[in-house]
Amino acid sequence: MSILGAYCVNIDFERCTHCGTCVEVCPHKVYEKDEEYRVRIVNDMACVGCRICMEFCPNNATHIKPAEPEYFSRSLWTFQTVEHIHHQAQTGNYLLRGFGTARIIPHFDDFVIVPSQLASPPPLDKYREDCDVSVIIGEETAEYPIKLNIPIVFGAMSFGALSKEAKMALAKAAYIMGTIANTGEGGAIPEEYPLVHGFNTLEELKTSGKSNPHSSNGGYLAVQWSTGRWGVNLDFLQNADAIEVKIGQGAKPGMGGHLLGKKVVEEVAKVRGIPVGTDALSPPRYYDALNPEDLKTQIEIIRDVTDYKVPILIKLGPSRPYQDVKIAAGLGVDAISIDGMAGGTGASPESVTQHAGIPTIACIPPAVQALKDMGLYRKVKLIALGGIRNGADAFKALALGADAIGIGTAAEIAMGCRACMACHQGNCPYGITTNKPELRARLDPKKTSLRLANFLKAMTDEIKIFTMLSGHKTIKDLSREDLRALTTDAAAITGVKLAGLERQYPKMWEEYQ
Amino acid sequence: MDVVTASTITEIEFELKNISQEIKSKLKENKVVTITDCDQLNGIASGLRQGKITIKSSVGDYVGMLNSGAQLIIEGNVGRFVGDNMTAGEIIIKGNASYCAAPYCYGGKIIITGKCGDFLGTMNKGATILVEKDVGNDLGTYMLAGNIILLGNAGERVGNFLISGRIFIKGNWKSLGNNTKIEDLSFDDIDFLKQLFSTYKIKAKPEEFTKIIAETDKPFYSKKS
Repeated sequence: MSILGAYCVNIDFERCTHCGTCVEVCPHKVYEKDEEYRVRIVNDMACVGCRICMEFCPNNATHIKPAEPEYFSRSLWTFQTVEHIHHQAQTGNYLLRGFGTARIIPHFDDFVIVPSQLASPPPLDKYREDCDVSVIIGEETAEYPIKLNIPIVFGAMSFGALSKEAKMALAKAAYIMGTIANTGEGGAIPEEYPLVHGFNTLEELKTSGKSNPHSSNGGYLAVQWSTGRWGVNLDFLQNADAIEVKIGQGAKPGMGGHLLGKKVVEEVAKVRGIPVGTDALSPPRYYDALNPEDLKTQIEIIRDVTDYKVPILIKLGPSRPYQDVKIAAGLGVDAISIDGMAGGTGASPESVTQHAGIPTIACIPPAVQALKDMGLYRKVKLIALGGIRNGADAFKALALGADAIGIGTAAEIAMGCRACMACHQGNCPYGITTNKPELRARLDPKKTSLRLANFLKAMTDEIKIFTMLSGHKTIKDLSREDLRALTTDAAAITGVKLAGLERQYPKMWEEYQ
Repeated sequence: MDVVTASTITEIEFELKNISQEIKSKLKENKVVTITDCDQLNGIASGLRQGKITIKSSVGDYVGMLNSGAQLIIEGNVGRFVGDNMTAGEIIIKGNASYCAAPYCYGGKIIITGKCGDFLGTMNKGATILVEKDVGNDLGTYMLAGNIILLGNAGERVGNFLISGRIFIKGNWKSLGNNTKIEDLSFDDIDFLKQLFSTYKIKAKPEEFTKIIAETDKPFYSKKS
């Protein structure tokens, strides 16, 4: 189950011709045909709200309606809440689900962008002038720094959590747009590395005469060094264009990765080095690094075994951003990714996703301040992730102080996801978060990579529009002055001036600066 | 034989880089490398694919990390996390190993003639790890494949949340971890142990060992098999 009892399933039998399309496309077995070959609803509680039945019904006969309006009449005790309690009472188990938090938290929507008029440099012409959105990571430390064409990278999503086809699409899109694809913590599939460099196979890459793909201006493959260390070996690290040390993630900070056994098929098991069907539950901390000093040593060794060629990143969950970022920057990394509470996941205990961590907008300003205090701001790059949906969100994150932003959930949606929040079940009807061959076949990596590239291009254009209408030639010039908060909460959390008040809301922010 | 003396390196912040480069250049010339005076150094001989390196002193943490085919012989004690994430090759430690020896290994062999600290062979995914004397607690935690052979005694929670792989113990243990059970030795087990003992000249009989395996390979959310 994703969210129990969240959806009402209906068939309009005046329209239904009992063609069985809904039975065929629904991977959750909500519908079936009875003995007389008539379609009927047999398990509406299994509906996750993906709406693939509505999408494919030729007669517009199936209807999925959220049970949300009950929130207004039953207050805290919605049907979903009641069903959750019943589920726990019956089974003794807490709920697991994928996707990310489904609660309302302070978010980028709580800001508006301040356009330039007379009191600031005049706006620039989006149609006839240039805007620099490039970002370089590891310029001073790595032989082959990452030169991003756009300030958007793909967040870490592992093979196993995502299908092979989805991973291929992400790698190819990274190549098209000149950005980073990230293996996540599940090791790399053989196709990922050549695709990110513009080749279909490793053989093609080897015979291309391109002796060092790190120096290409195509895409970049970041590989994760994590607490589960799935699929990590020397080749994996030495082939990478960047290495990301994972400490935590937004959707379940303080917990390790969860890949449930039903998604550990033979191919996934082989890459991760685990038995088929077993749950791959990463430890929440490193067994081989007990403190930041150990991590610093590990990072030094990783640099050494990769011959000081590629940048090293670190990924943090949303916890105590000021202190965490200060420690992370002291480890000698080239970039720090900070993933806010709105970040996504393939599977997590629901209560953790809903209640652990702090909002993304609350992570960025303290992280920026930590880097400023260490004299490393804009040198060690800050990548903000967690619930970034479009160019406006991305611009706001950049204006709060990030150097680049990362997307995971939005990338999945660009691939076709309908946000049903049931990624953990392995039955994704769009072939994204599944390892079942019949469902994977629904996702064409080539077409999907173009959708992803289109999405990144559109997002980047939006970032450029906002940057230029704020009077800036480069995203490096953005600041909190380019934003105004619409709520006192957002103003208090971030230090952004409250719209209309035109000054920072609480006094603590004035002292902080 | 070429001797790399760690104590000649003066700039502390560059010591790992300098020593690594020196070791790698000697190995490229097919030389057998001997390293001395490296008691305080971490990460020595990491990420090597081939060659034979002898370390004639005790050594710091993360020795032989990501070893992918080299043979390391350490004539002294080693710090924490020796052989971290090793995938191939051999590490022989003629002394004691500290906390969490051989974590996250995918393959290769690690032989420790002395004692070992807690969390030996954590998340082992395919390496063969042999310890001749006693080890601490949490031996083979969350092990997913491979073999751990212990001639001495073990502490608490042996094989805690073992998923797959085999633990052979000749001595005693204080307690077994979750999801473990004892099984009789098979002919394959006996052959495997005989061959290993013969290779490393260990005087022990396979029949003296107890075999500990996982109760199920699905102890968490997925249903038990």
